[in-house]
Amino acid sequence: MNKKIIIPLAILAVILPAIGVIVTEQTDSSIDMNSEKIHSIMEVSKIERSMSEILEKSQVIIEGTILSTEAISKQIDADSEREMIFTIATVQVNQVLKGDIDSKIVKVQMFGGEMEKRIVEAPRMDVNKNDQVIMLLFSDPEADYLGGNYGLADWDKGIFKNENGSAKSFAETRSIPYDDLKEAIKLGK
Amino acid sequence: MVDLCLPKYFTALINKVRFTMFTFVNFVNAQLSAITIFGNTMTKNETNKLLAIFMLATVVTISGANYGFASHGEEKWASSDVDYKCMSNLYNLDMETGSSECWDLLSSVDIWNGIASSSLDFDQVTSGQDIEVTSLNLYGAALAYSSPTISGTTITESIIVFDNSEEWGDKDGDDWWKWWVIDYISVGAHEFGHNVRLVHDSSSDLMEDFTDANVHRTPSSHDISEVQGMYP
Repeated sequence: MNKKIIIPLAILAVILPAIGVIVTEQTDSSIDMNSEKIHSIMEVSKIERSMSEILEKSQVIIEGTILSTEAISKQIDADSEREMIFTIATVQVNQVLKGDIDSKIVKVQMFGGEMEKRIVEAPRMDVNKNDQVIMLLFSDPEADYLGGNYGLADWDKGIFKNENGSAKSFAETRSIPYDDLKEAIKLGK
Repeated sequence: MVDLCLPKYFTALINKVRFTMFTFVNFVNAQLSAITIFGNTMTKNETNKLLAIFMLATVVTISGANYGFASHGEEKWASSDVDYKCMSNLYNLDMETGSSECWDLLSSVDIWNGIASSSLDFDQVTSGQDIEVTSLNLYGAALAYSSPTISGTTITESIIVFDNSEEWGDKDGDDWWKWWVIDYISVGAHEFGHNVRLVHDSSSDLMEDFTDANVHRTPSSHDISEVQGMYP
């Protein structure tokens, strides 16, 4: 009888600290120090803009499907000793919600990404192949050297991803029905 | 309102003590409850064994918790002498101040260099830089960003990028009269602040994540105290 009590309690006494250590590590260490990759964190200064201002400022707004993403590193300045990481998302355009584009496929350059030995964390929505997204864009012909011809009009509110019918952005925690958002943008509401 | 401003390391120490006490009190409670419930059915020897296991578990948990805290948010440069270089693209910024953008940037750096009782010293160099300062067209999606690279608890290098599509100016100086200008000294000081690992803080004028046009911002006593704590 006593052993029946002691053994579960002893197991519990070992498991609880282990959980405690795991939870503490996950919540209090934003950087994985054990990772072999070199870590950079992007901190951004912004002017606070409302969603309607961002929509108005966007030259092009599309609804589409991510076909692929590719992280690239580029030297920005001729006299630089280091390279910056960008992610190029190739997007199949399903619907143009604002503006004009002449192609069914666009390449969107986004800051940050993950390469073999480096991770650059940017404050933006992470997208992957087959994700359904609404993207708020600006046309940047000068950015061709990055491999993308569009940029995000806002980093944390520039991508809305369809997650089970809800539109999720990096900045917005409230849930908006994806189709409703698409319709509202189209109608300019 | 009282501005309770404590150096970063002191705040981390308080967190450790608070978490340790919280963990300890909870484990003692659990032990007492277990002994109260099952104590009558155990021999003295068995009770002692159970107590020993619980004591060991308490030590393991507290050590683990403190290990977690030790690696958080204390990243700093190996030296308090941090060198930055103005890269060629920085000169694409639209500043109409009559002097070079890099020279103007010194004003924002001076905010940190001028902190009393701190050895932090940002120096402009032409080679061997720790921080590269440059510009790109961010199309107003961001005014600027910085991207420090962290290895363990050491900042090894960094980059600061300004948006070259903004109307930059010195709101506290020559451009005070303009109706729309982004104060490069404030934004520059904010970004250099990130490079000493000051994080966004809504209670700080300078380190708040959002800014407005036409404002000149200054560090809070908390920001200054943090820098003094990190680079005494």
